[in-house]
Amino acid sequence: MKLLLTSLLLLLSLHAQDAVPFTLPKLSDSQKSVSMKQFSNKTILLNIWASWCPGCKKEMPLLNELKAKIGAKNFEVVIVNVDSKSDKAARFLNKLQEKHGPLTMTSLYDKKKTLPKAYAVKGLPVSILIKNNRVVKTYVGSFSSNDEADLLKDIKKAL
Amino acid sequence: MKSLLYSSVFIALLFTGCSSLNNVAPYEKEHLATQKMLVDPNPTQSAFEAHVFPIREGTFGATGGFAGGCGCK
Repeated sequence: MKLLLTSLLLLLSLHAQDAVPFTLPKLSDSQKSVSMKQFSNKTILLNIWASWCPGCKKEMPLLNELKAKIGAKNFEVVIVNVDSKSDKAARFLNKLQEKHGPLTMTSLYDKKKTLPKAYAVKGLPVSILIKNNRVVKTYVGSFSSNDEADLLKDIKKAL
Repeated sequence: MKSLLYSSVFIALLFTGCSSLNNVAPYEKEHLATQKMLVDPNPTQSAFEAHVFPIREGTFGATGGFAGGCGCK
């Protein structure tokens, strides 16, 4: 009986969490929306960030280079900003482009903070690796250059 | 005695409302992260003043970082 209960609990804990579906406007153009359905055949790294969060800004160059480093067509980085006003975030991303080249990430704006609430986010930034609408792994905190190798490994494993 | 009991209960209930004040979600801390919310919102100015003050006043300390003994300023 004990063995059965333990196995059941273990199985439940291993059950991957479903990714939260979203349809959010683009940060650069609020008239255009992007839905998670557009990424249904892809592996995505969903990053929730804010312009007032220093760690979020620090890891942006690394996230911007991820797609090139992975080199796979079915991988996307989606960054979702949760500022109360989008202007600071837009300015930051413009500066990022000037310094580090064009944005390779899909940049969205979640004014009502629906995604962090749905994921019960414990800190910012948070990055969620999603494949086939399932959460593969969640990373709380910013990535440093030391974390890059492990992150690339996780993404390639998920592809 | 009764009034003391009632007032104690009232004050206790009043302060239970404050228990929700520490449950700020991390993505809602935008206004807490502004420059003016820092303990030292202008570190450059503070550093300059900390340099000028001892020269001008001929004394130092009392800034919280000086662990002097008795009689030290």
